Amino acid sequence: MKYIIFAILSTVFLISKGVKAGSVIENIATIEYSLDNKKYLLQSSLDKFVVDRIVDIKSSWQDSSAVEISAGEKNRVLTFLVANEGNSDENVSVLGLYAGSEFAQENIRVFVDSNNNGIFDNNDTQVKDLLIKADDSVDVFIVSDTPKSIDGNFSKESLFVEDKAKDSKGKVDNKEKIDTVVRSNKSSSVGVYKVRDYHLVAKKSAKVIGGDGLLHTGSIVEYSIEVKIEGEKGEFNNVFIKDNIPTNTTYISNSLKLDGIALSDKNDSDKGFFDKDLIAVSLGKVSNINNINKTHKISFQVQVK
Amino acid sequence: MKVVKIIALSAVFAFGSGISINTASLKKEIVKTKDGKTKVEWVKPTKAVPKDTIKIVDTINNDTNKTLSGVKVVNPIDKSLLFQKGSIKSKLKFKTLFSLDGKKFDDAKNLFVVGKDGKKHLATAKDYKAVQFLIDKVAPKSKETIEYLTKIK
Repeated sequence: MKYIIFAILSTVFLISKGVKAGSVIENIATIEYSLDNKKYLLQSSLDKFVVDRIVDIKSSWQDSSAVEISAGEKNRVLTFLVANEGNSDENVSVLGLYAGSEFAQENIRVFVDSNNNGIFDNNDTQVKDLLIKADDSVDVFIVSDTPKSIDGNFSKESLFVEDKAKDSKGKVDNKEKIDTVVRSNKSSSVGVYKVRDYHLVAKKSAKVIGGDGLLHTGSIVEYSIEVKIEGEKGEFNNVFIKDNIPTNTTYISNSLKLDGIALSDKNDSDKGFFDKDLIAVSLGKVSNINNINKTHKISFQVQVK
Repeated sequence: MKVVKIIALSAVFAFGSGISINTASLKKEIVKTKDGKTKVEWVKPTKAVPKDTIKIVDTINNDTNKTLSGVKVVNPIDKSLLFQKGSIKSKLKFKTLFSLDGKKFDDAKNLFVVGKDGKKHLATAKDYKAVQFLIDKVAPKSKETIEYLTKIK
């Protein structure tokens, strides 16, 4: 993938605006006085100096707690804030690094929050460098995959940010000499992944309805899928179940149900639908927190050809 | 006899009059002495960055044999500087006024601004555009200073 230097035009600001490097500060004084019943007005000469460049880069991990992961999960996100607290636009390099913990995540990548919505999505750009305006900040994501086999409970990744600027004497810029003062040109912060101690489980079963209970051509079979959380307290959001209609069977129209409530076969406003050769049901949040341990049951019927 | 008040303009006319005003912006920096040691002094800034403290020093030189009266010294406050309240120092007897527009001056307690809530609030240092010092007298053959602190925004 081609990496690009991504220029951030404006983002959320949390820092008060400092005077830009190269700004000229002027000072002058006037004195009015009386002498021998006469009034006089004098002015001093103009005194001025130039504001120099201060380099001050900081990175901080933003998630409120460890980000939960399970073995084999892809694209798990840690969110960081990279702030330019200096008074000139700065080009910084960003790097995601394994920070030494029980196991390492795989495929570590760094993305900038291109659409500035605080969420990692398809609009965000993978980067190695950023241009951050003075007194500005930007969200940066470390995105990584969890190995299929895990040995441990925690994985730590750090975001390392570096500005190549050094303390230096007057650079001639717009005819004013501007020195560079480095307050901080490197910063790193560590984000934490935590292995979930709870799991989403879907168990499928089947039974022949009616007749002699045995499977023949024309038999009606009801499939049930029970979805719940096993293990410690936790929840999953946006749970979506899909199941293919078994070969050599025909889906029985309008047989789809969720927790005993019929769902239409159409892809409409209810929680499920049938489409050609599969059924799909949206469960939303599945949780076992707050003494709720809901088991959702999806069922549908087919006829053996 | 009609008394004509004459107002002299421009620093050029200070020459030969024995009265002058000078102003300087200074920053505390580490400087090397002649014997190779270092010390902290207020000097013209060599490296000035946001949040640095800058001291403004006005020096009034009265080389005449006469007392100056009704003295008013005005310093516009650069938009990049924030006046530090309580920082004014001088051996002169003086009163301080501030201006929100650079023209009209008044006691700080009489200066108000309209906030985002549409209500009047007492102006704060960030609203001040200029400072004025009303000095009773400047003695003959004297060199006096009046100074105050600011911070680079």
